[in-house]
Amino acid sequence: MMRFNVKNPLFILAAGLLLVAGSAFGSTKAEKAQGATVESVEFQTAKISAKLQEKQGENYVDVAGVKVHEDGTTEDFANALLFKSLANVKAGSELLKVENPYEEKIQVLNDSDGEYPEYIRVVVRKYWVDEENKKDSSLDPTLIKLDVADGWGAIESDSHEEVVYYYRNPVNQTTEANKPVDFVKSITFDRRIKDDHTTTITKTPVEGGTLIESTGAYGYNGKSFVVEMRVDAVQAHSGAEAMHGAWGVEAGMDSNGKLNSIDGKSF
Amino acid sequence: MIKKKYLVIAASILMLGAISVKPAMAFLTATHSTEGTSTVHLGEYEYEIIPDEKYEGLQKRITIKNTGEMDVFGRVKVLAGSTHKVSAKDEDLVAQNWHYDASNGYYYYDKKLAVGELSTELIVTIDPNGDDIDSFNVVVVEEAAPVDAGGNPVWDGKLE
Repeated sequence: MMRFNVKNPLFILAAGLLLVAGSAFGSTKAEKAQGATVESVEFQTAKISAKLQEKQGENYVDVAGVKVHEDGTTEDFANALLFKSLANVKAGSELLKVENPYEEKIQVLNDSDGEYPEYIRVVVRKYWVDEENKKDSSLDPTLIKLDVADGWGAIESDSHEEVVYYYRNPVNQTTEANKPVDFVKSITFDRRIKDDHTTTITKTPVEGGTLIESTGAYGYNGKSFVVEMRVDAVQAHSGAEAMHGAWGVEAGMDSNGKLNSIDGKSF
Repeated sequence: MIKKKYLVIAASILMLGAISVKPAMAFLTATHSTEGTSTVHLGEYEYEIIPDEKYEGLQKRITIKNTGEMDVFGRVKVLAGSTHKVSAKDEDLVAQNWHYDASNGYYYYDKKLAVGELSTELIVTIDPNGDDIDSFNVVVVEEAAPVDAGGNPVWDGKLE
């Protein structure tokens, strides 16, 4: 029997050629079907789209998404999140109430022009900034709490600065009948924000006794914070593969397509 | 020698073949970002008290006055050395709206002191313990606490 010498160059050559030939089967081929009369075919790449809206006053306003012009061209847009319910606190005319939910309504929409359901996630980053608007890592981002509606699963980063919220069910195109998906309901500040305070006590002898003065200053007084949001959408069809290819995450879902876990972390 | 050359060529073709096997796939995706900022103002707090002490024989009468900008609750500790005990009569305490907490030795004024308000007197008596004293050193320690949302004093220093 001939001994198979793997190192034999002819063997390797044959294996290589076989692989090259075999790779042709993996790719897509367009063939004219037998018996069919195809004269011309119009191809249009499907586009999916998602956008974020923030309730400002009475109405919801677009804050992140794509605008389609009349000539068909598209333009990405971003408008700032306003946090209108915190306007007085920001101005200093009102003091922050801790553990008090300030209304902050944010919703997501599937504004694709076709009826393509999508998996949507929102990546939220929150942090405090200094006077020059540079991130201040010494301040605690977990003091800023976003109260999220039902139906979302949260995966928090180790630094606590970033939380990714996955809407667990595929989102159909938003229409009159199919309302936008509620995302954030309110923003609350943890009571621990008041833990950072320094008290200075001075004692001065005065007529009749001693004047004891205690002055307190809160470390977070006058500090500003930033909340960044990025909405990502992928096709719901072959959703797990799409999420893996586009987002680099392993999605675990049930037979109905409801997400249960991301990268092994259960919701 | 020649065999080695063919081996290298063959191996390269094998590698090229292996690379081309992976099929390309494209997914439909969309992504958009925004951000927002705001500022928190927590205010500042300030409170002060002036204790007033009068001696009458072996009796000390202490009052506290709130001279700060915030309503406070006050408490007082009277120390006169280990050999001379300081005490107050229960009926005096009740009549004057003070109470004594044995766990920490403080006399608490039960009523909230509004800004500018003066408390009623805390009357404490020094026990001479057989000594003939006409004057004695007493240390009076006074503390104030801010008032929380429920109208109660916050003695551990944390404002709620």
